[in-house]
Amino acid sequence: MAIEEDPEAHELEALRTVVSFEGRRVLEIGCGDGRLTMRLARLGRVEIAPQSLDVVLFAWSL
Amino acid sequence: MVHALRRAHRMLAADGLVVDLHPTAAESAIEVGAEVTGFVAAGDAIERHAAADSALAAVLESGLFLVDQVAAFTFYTYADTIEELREYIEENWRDARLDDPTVARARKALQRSPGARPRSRERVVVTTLRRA
Repeated sequence: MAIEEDPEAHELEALRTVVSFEGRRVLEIGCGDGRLTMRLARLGRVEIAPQSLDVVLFAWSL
Repeated sequence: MVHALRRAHRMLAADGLVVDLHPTAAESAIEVGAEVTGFVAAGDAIERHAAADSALAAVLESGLFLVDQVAAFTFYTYADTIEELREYIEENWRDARLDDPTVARARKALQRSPGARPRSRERVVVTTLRRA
């Protein structure tokens, strides 16, 4: 099984409580390997890194 | 980070949001089941996280943004063995390491709990900001 990050999806759940990502245009900064971006993209109609932005997401890792 | 937040302010739609996501200053724990076997030695992580807090405070003080919502959650990273978890953390987290006593206690805890997977626990805070 190897390394598994946040299988409980606590991160996505917390984000969804504070932001509605559906149909939003999102830029993620400090995204590392893009793990969070990929999860957001799976939410549905989310446009990643467009020309104008509804959400700028700063993810500062440890 | 203050510069990045100022740029974000210029790029955002009028009703847009900035979402800041970073670990709290709390130490990250190593766990086997409910047992904490030690903590990640994470170099200057506490100072870096404090700097992120200060940057947020600075842009709020500047009047560019207002806090919209704040939430916190626990982020777990699992491995099959404590050696695998140690290698992952030391390779992927900045200046982080697991000390030998923490690893030894985790090995013993795993022997007592067959089937359990060692994990790291981080506390993370999410803050959303709106244009003022």
